[in-house]
Amino acid sequence: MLNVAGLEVVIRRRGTTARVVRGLDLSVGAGQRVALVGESGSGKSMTARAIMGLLPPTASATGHVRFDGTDLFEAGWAGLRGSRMTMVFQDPMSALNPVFRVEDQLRAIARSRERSRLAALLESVAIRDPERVLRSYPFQLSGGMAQRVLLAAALVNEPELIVADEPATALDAEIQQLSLELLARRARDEGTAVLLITHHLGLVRAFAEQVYVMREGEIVERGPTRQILRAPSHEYTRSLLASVPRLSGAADG
Amino acid sequence: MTRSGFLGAVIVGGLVLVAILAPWLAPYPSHAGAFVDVDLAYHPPNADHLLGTDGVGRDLLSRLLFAYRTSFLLACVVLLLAVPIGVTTGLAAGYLGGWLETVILRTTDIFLAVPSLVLAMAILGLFDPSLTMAMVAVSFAWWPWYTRLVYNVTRSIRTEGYVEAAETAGAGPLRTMFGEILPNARGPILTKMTLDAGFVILMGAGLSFLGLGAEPPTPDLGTMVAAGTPLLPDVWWPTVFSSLGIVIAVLGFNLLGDGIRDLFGADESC
Amino acid sequence: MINRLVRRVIGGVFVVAGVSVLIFVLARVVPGDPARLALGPAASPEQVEALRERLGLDEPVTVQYARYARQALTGDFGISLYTGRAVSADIRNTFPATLELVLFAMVFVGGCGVLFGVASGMRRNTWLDHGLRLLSVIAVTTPTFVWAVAFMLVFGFWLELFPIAGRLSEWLLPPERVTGLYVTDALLAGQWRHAADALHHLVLPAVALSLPALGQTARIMRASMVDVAARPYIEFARAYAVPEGRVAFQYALRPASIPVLTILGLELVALMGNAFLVEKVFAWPGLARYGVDTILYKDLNGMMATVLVMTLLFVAVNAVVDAVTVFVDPRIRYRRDS
Repeated sequence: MLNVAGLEVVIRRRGTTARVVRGLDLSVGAGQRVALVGESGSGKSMTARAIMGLLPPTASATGHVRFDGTDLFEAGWAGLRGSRMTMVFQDPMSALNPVFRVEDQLRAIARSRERSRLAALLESVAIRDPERVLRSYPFQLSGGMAQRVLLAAALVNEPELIVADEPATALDAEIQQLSLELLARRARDEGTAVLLITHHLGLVRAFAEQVYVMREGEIVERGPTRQILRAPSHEYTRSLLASVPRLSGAADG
Repeated sequence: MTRSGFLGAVIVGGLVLVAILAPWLAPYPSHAGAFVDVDLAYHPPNADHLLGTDGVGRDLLSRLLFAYRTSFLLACVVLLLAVPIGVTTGLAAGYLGGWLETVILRTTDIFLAVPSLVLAMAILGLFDPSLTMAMVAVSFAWWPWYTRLVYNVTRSIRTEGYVEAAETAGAGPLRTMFGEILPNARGPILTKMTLDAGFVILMGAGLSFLGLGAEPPTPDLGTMVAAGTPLLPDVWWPTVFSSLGIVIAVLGFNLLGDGIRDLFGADESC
Repeated sequence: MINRLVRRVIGGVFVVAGVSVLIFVLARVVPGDPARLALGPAASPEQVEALRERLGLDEPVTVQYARYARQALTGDFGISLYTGRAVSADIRNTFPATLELVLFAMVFVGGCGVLFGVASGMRRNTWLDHGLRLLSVIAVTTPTFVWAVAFMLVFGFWLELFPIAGRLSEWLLPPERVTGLYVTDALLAGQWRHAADALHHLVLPAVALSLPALGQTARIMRASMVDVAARPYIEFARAYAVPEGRVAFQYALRPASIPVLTILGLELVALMGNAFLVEKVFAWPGLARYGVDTILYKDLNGMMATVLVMTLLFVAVNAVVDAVTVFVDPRIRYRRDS
């Protein structure tokens, strides 16, 4: 579904350029759950943005990002982004526009505008009173509720690929787990490819089948999650593992 | 500092220098006073009088240089009067709160509902207009802006760690207000003071344009514009050059103020 | 919502009452003897005493204020020492002209200021942005009376495009008074030529009056657009393929316009102050020019009434702005208190 080859991202700032992603290869198949893990500044977020075509103006990318066989750097994201490939944003409170109702914001991005479908969608992301949430403005929602709305936004057009960039990091562990469970169910039931971007190895253990460990713009280790986490071969992965407490109640995978 | 901020600093620095050195820089220093030479009246700009002469034959360049003294004096005195009053009331309202806060804020509401220019005009109209009176009148209209600014800053930082730390360490209200909170408001205050220096000059010019400012023969930018206006368009130089004189000064302070704002990383609110 | 409305009304009444006290105290207590002020140094002591008695100046200030307030509430502001007529009649004659001028100027401020700010903020660091920013700074830093004089000179004298004095050409009779605004009254009466002529007279003073506030609005709108453009919700909209036009004029403009709305009231105050200068230059027969003249002639009744009427206008416009802000920013609508 998603195939990244030789991705390079450079950022120009005050005359100097920084190579933040250096020759990255990565692929996510249909129905697969893949994690890209690394500390902040490792280039994982820029990778996500390069895949989605949402790099800041100061950054530029070369290499290949293929979605369903189409090279996005050549063909562009029109007709794909927001519908066939979507992104779950980091901070739910800042990603929703404060002066528009949830319903209006979902309608603006959804292909189908039926209210009943929007309500059903919100129910599917564990929102008990979808009618109230649809009528609400973002500031009237709790962080967890807003995060579910963001998930719903990512799912509304039934995408084939979801890129989740540190979902709900600002929120409690419970809503993080809920988000990942919903994404995992989506992958299992609909065959959606999911790429999780995170710094949290505990989440990786619970969620991903495949993991890529990223450091200073390069993949230092890759492979099946169990194998990598049980017997990391790279020094960096070991240090990441050492710094993360084990998360209890991990899902299968 | 940004390039435009630097330009503002150069303009302001240059004009202040010009104002201080006016007696030595002006080609005809005596023309700053009640000098009259009817033979020289309304000479257009020429080699002897680079900006021409006014209706009684005085050199406009000399008067312009001296007029900056009037303007800067006005700006300095107004800020020296208005800022301490505004800062003190703003700190008191924001830090002490209670009925004092209500009284101070409601008072500023009243002042801010009347245009500063009109308030100053009314005061000047009641007294006899003079430069001194103009200073008092403009200050009277100006202090609430600083009350509001300092109040807002105080409200936003009074619960921050270092303020509470000082309180825990036993600092009294005065010490906390002026020693802990005020230093943190210096960015916005300095920015506003720089911008306001320009706007005070602007208002002073407006007042004297209406005949409510410095009394003749004191050289004053607004008076010079007003004196030239009826003679337009034939005698254009008094109006044009004195107008430009105002614009350059206000522009200088504005650019400098924006530069200072960027320096302190403050927002557009002040 | 209702609470907010009630609080606003009380606040407005309080401000008007406060301004009346402020002006009254200034006029009656500070400068000494208003009767002497009004009559000038040449008047005899008997004349001064007679006027003092007529104005009730020998009574305590609180009694004087109570009487003034009571009469003002019934629309009686006393006799103008400048025109010799009832101040209320003077205001009735002059206020519509100022209202027309100020409203017209506010339309320029709101329309062009917001438009320039949005254009500047969306095309950041292009020549358009730099040009508009330069114009904004010049608009803000040039005195209103210099704009007025410059417009008069360039568009009035040299290009002869616009008339430079008054509200209507001398050969036209003012339209029948309904609102007092010539443009609307002429339109209501179907006098197209009169409406066009009145509009023609309005352009120069209104534009000159609007420029400082227009520049300020453009600057704040730009800063606000730049601020909002960097917010994640704009990126979110782009990530979900919301059309660019909709992103700019709905998702960005609406939250970005809130800071502009909050300063609109203060801009109006400054604008009314500048009206005193513009009306003087363009011989605009409005309240502001009346105000200048009453001040210059030390006509206390006229001056106080002028300031009070302007404060009322300010309070009224603020109420409208407040209502618009509540509509634009739902966060205010749903806030329980404060």
